[in-house]
Amino acid sequence: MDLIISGVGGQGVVLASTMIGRAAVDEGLNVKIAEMHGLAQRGGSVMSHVRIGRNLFSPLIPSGQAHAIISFEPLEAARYVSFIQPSSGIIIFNTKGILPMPARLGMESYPSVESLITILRKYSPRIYPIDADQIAIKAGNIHTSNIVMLGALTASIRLPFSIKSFRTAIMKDVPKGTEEVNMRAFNLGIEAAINLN
Amino acid sequence: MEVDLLTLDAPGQRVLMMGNVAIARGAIEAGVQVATSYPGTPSSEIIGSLCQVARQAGVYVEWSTNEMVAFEIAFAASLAGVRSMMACKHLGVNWIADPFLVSAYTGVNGGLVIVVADDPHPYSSQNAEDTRYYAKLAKIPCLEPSDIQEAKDVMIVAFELSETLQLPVMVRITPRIAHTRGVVVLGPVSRLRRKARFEKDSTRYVMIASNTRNRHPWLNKQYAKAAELAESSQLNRLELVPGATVGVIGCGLSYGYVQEALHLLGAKNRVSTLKLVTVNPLPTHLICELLSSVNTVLIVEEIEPIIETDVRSLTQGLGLNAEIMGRLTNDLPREFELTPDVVTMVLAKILKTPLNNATPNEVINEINDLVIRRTPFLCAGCPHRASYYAIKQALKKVNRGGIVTGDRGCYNQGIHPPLKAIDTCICMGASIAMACGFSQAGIEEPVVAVIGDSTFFHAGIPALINAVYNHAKVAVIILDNGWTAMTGHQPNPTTGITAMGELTKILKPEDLVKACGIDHVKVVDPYDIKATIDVIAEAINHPEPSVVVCRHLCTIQELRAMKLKRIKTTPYTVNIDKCNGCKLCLSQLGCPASVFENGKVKIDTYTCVGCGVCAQVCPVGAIKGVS
Repeated sequence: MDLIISGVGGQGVVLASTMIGRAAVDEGLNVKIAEMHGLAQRGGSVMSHVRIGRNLFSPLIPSGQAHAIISFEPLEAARYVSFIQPSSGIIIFNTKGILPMPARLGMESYPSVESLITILRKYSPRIYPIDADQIAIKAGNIHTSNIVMLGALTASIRLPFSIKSFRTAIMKDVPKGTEEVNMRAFNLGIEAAINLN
Repeated sequence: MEVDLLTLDAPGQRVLMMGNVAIARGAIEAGVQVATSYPGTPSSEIIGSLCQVARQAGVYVEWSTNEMVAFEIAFAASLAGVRSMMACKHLGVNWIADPFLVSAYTGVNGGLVIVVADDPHPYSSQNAEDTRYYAKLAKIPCLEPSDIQEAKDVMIVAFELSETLQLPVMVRITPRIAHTRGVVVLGPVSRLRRKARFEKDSTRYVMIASNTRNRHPWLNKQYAKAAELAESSQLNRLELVPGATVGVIGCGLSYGYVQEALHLLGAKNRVSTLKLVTVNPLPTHLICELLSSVNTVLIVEEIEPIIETDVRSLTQGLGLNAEIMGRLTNDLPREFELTPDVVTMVLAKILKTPLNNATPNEVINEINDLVIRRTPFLCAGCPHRASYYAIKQALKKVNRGGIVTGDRGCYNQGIHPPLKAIDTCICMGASIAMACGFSQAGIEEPVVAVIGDSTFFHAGIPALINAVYNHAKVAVIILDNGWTAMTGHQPNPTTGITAMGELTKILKPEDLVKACGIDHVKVVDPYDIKATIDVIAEAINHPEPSVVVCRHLCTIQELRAMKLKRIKTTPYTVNIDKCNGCKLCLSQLGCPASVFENGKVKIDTYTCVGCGVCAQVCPVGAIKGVS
């Protein structure tokens, strides 16, 4: 299974990718995750290639091959959507936009989420816009929005590992004492995606 | 934690590891005793992870002041018989070139491995040079791992090879090894601990010309031996497919792209392949075996067509007829990093296999029209933003134009709008000497050099001495935030701790500046905008070379320290009634915490760290701290 995880530097793209990777390794699967580190992180566009299963040769996913993109930001879903399978790839994204600097300065305009959804639907109709920030607040902590997104992922695609392993991998990596709120966020994410099915 | 895996003595266990960490693990499995580096993306996590387990693993690890120093320390350790390594990015090799090229003449004793991370695209570097040229130049072996498991395993081979040949060995990686996580099967942790002992031998270690003349033939002999060893290396793998007319050589990680492409095209049983890890010197017999069995050979290698050129001359020398294709022939793109897509495309063309390409290009074009750029920026509260604002205002105040030469660090983000504060950025330390160059050439505008603390210690000092010695009329601004921040927050001589976590003396740039002969030195906190503008304007007007140290702790470090002490930040807010919508705060500072909405500026209290710089810039006093 091939997944693209994208977002803005500082949003936790690398950590989310690692959580998925650990869950897969714990079940004896093979994994390759190509990440971006360094200067590209500081508020820039960030994405990881997550590959799980057999015949993993390249750490990079060939264009049009990924089964899903999980983006923590709407624009970053559109930026990398060509990596997923046209017509059948799954597009999950947090609807909360983060304005790039040129848009903040009024030099360029940030597209509306509605226009992004309309156009992404042309690429693949399997779209899951998730208001992850609001759901995270409902769970009890806005910082859990990525965990909401990982919950939504489990409900929108058949992952090659069990939800139990995924939960265990996530719990290992969240800050001590936040396990409960993160689990709530994960479950609410599952619920949100099921409601869109 | 991933670093805990570095010392885990559980041979056979499967773990998920980042390539750079796998390299550190490989060094531990090989019994490394001294490891040095100057941080640089994409290499930083090698030593960055190793230093966290240094004591436990019994390894001496340091962040050195620059790569040359780092190399010389590792080199001397090797001469004293212990296994040692030095890691850096490709540009770091430019710095070590001098001692590195001579170390091949002296030879080494304990295995000496130089791990170099190239940046083909590049993602975070000022050029995309191919370090393999240096391996050829020095006449030493270079190994290029093809995946994460091999990144670990190749380190053990590299140390052994280094001791067999008595030559330094280079291990070359790219970001797709460095920053890829993959499954690694652990080997045993080495118990090798040698006592350092230097046996004097002036004919080897004192490289005066007469001694060098004796060592040159020795080096050539060892290099020939290296080529022989490459022939039998278990790291390479030739797979000849009977009847195949097409062959592919995949070098290092590129071999993965070749496999991916052949898998996608269903062409595995039609193509002979050579996986090449010993990329210098080449196993020519092995390559000839492939060349003589096919009509066409595609060479897939990262950055420059080095092996392609060598294979071409090999073909001609032996009178073989195989057609050679690759980056030199433009069958693969001449620039940028390779991807499975480009390798698949060229192989599809060579094999005349139709590509199953169902990508809806029109839709993609429509999407791309909507997607706007997202460039990285300085963090909210970054002191560099305040310093740049002050430099620009000071130049305005002096009113004679101005050129700002920049340097390497987070602060080169100052190029982006709205700051657009630097006019040059070339390499470590270039800011000061280039400012001098502009001034000496007769530029009449004020020339200001901007350099970070770590870069100043790395490469700024000789240029500053030169400025004093030769009367250059420049103002140097040292942005001292106490850390080497851009590469992931490594400590440096201004931080007060070493890589291994020991407390150490804090070196203050102003003390060195005075010792270099600068008389006009001022230290200022850039969060105090007015004072900073005044001090910089004064430095610009000074008739001799002058220095201003803008000192404020890196915001990320400051926030971490505050969190530990349970101190909360006090964000700022905009009084909407007072804000006249002039956008000066946004257009001058471009802080990611502020945004323009409905004709007024709004501050996101979640992102704002409370530096208060925007409040000082606001002409109507509309921005206030939340009490």
